[in-house]
Amino acid sequence: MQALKSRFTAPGSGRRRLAVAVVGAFALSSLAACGGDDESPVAENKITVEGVPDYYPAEYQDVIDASKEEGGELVIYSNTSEENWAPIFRDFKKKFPWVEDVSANDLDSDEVFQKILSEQSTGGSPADLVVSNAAVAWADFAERDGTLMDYESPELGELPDFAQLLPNVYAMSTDPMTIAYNTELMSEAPTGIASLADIAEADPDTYQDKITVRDPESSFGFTVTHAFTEANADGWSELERVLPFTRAETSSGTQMEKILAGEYLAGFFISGGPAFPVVDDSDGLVDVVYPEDGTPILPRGIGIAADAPHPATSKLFVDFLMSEEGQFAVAEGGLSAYRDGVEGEGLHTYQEVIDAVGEEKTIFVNYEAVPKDEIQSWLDQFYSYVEPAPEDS
Amino acid sequence: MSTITDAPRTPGSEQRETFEPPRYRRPLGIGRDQLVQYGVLAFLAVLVLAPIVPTLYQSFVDRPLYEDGRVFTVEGYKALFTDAGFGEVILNTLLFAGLTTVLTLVIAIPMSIVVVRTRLPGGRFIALAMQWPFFISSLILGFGWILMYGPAGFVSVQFEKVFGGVPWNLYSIPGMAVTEAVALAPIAYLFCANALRQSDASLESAAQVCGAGPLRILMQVIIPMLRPPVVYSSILVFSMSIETLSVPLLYGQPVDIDVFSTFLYRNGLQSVDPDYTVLAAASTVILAVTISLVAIQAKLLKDAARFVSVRGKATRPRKLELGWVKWVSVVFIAFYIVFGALIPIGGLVFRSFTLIFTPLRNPFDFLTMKNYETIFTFDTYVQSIWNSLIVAGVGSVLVSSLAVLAVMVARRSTFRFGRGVEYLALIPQSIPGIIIGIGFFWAFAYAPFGIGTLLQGTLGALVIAFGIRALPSAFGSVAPSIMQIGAELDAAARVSGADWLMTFFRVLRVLITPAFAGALILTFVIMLKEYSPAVFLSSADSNILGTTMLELWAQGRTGSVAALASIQILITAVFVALAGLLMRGKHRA
Repeated sequence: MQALKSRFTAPGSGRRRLAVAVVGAFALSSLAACGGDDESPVAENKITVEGVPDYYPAEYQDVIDASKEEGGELVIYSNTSEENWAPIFRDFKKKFPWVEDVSANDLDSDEVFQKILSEQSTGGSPADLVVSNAAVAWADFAERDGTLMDYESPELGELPDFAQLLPNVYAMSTDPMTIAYNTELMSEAPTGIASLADIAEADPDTYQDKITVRDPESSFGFTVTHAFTEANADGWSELERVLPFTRAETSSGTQMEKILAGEYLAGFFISGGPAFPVVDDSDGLVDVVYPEDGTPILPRGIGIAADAPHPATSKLFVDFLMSEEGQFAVAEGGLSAYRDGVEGEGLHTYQEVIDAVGEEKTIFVNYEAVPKDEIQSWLDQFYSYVEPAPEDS
Repeated sequence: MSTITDAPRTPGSEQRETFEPPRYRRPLGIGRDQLVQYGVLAFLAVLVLAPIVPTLYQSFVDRPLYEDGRVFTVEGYKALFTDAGFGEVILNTLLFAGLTTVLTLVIAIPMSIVVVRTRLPGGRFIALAMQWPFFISSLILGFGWILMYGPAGFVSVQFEKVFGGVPWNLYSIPGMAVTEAVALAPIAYLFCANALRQSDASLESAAQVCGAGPLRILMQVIIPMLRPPVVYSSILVFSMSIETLSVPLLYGQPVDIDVFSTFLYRNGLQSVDPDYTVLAAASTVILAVTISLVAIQAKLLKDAARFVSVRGKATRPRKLELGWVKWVSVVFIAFYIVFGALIPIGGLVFRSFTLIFTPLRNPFDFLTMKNYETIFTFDTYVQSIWNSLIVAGVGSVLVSSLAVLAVMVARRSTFRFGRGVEYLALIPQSIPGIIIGIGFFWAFAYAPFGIGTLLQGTLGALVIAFGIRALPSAFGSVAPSIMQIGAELDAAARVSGADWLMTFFRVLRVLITPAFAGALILTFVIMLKEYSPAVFLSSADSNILGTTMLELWAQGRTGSVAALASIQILITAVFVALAGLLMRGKHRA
């Protein structure tokens, strides 16, 4: 008990003061570290404030006025990163200056739906917009009653047919699936799945377990690989040749790191979004190519939630995303824009893919449900081509 | 402290009391002891059962809870047990968890003995350094290990150049066990170290008087007295290994090794066709396993009087002179710290300063601050750092206090449901984090008086969910220390008129303070790196470090992940160092 009383005056107290000072200094310095400018190396996007293109209906002004009454907030549930969103939010706020707070809750592509369905069934969700590229989950979500708001965007007339992915679901960007490879360790650059199979078969010892594929049981892996086999008559035979050399991974981040390090020599059906920045950073060590035998294109869909707290602002946002200004911002953020006429230095576009492999070889992934037994039989076929790993599963 | 008593008066004359025993009010015949004890039980029951009840319900219902038209079914359990390959999954899981536990103890026990009970140069630094792997989530640690020791890791490539081959295979069950053991050994170390600091020198003196040398004292007095922390930590580590997802996923996925958690992950939310019923059924199975583990633990710790070492008389544990054995263990510790912790974490920190990190290129050519810029440019990322600090700071105080109260009720009172309190406090340790998140989501949705809507999406929800995850560790770290305090102190207090609560506040509280401090540090670290329950409970305003790291990882921004991990390590190291400084005079009770 003596120790208790003298605690505040004993030698330890000097240390306590020092400790508090250190904590304070640390807190101050981390505050100071906040805030920095983001650079935009791309040419500035010209935004007309509060102006809408002339092909919009006359009543559109009502939507704009209604949005002014809504409080300037927007809540998005998406699987898209802050960096991808940053130019989009910046330009949207520039265009409609009364909107001050656009926040994106970042979730996994399927968790987006689980969360919003759970919230909607227990009395209301704070989400205004839903963004995801999980095709099967979108199809399931859109089919249910009372999940999405009916809305037809006036931009549809200016866009290709695939811009409307499902009733009330629109395409925000179109992400291409690439083949990423390590330029130093690969004997030659692959040009497609068949070419990759050729290279591997020519030197099986080097390539055994050195090619990575996305886990086919995951929503993303299944969707893009399934689209490939559906659209491409030679799809299964090409996969049959290349799958024995592969190992599955569950994230593109892991795949790109391992290709960089040389643990894998190549990987296929890796989405452009995570791949392009790594290509830029690696100064030529890693490169990506669009598969010539078929490049799956996975659109990123956006829809307005049924009881969105800010319906008018949500409509403005959806229309903005699909407009020319919005598509520039989408491309600036690192995703692939698909509207005609959007192009520039460092911007990735749908047109780029068509130029590379030709329109017949771009496989647009449809948002549709796949019956359970079809999924199972597809998976069985996939696994029959993959050789069992040394540790038997 | 001394009480002065008057000379005894002659019988017959009035005895004037020099010491007034305290009086207690008993409104409605219920003493305040009972109030507190029942209160703790009720509070724990609500907190722990809140996420479990929806999960149990879901396991018997054929569709997700947000859909109408539910039908009761046992299909979930049937599907689980008849799934081809499930038997292998169970075997893999048991092997993995068992190996991890053994390795953890092999690392932690010698290390705690050598650091706490022998004169080790740089002992304090070593004690801190060995906890570094614990400061980051095992996802990041696994990533660090792959960077260094994986098939294309820096160390592997160098080793291969010199020796022509690599004798280890990270992508295997032993590989997973080693990494997980490195990540969890600090828990066992903390438990054992706390207990060792309170050892009773008189027992060892008695052994010495009988002619025992230091090694014998070690083997026959000190190590057997470590049974409570060893049992608590091994049960904890075993349960955490059953539930851990990151390391088995990173290492097992490329070679098709499935353990329970990866099995759930692949058939659960990530799957193209998620089956909530099976998910919930599997969680219930794990729950049953945990309950039986806690029962085993109770059996092992019966007759707790054997482990008492803090008595009415104050003693100070002495340092042992172990001679050459000490140097062997120093080498062993150095090996563990350098290869287990320093190299992978060093690699990670270095990764945060480069654009790319590959043995094929000189990393010094790619140095950059861009990864840190990315984090500090976006307000949400910076906000997540602050949120994490708040959640961990507030949460650790609350959880540690609750843990101390719970241990007092469970092990230090005559409360008839004391065993129940212990079970409740330890159950959450092996429920997968995502299940806790989903369970709390539904609990908040159906909570009465709209409490749920107040909490959902706020930091409060995260404090609760993360707190539940940290509670078993806090309980396990405090319990052995309390068990070491002799019961005669309580008896003496009772004789003087103190009830249970007063015994706690006036007698035991100061003795428990070191354990409380240890639990505080432990829970802070755990809650800082937690993330899986946050998926369902957080909103854009309540982002935390873990979810931000996951987000960046999914986009392939591994440099920024490494940057955030480095920041997390820095915060934790600073906190632990400060806490260690502040607690420095308090180790002697």
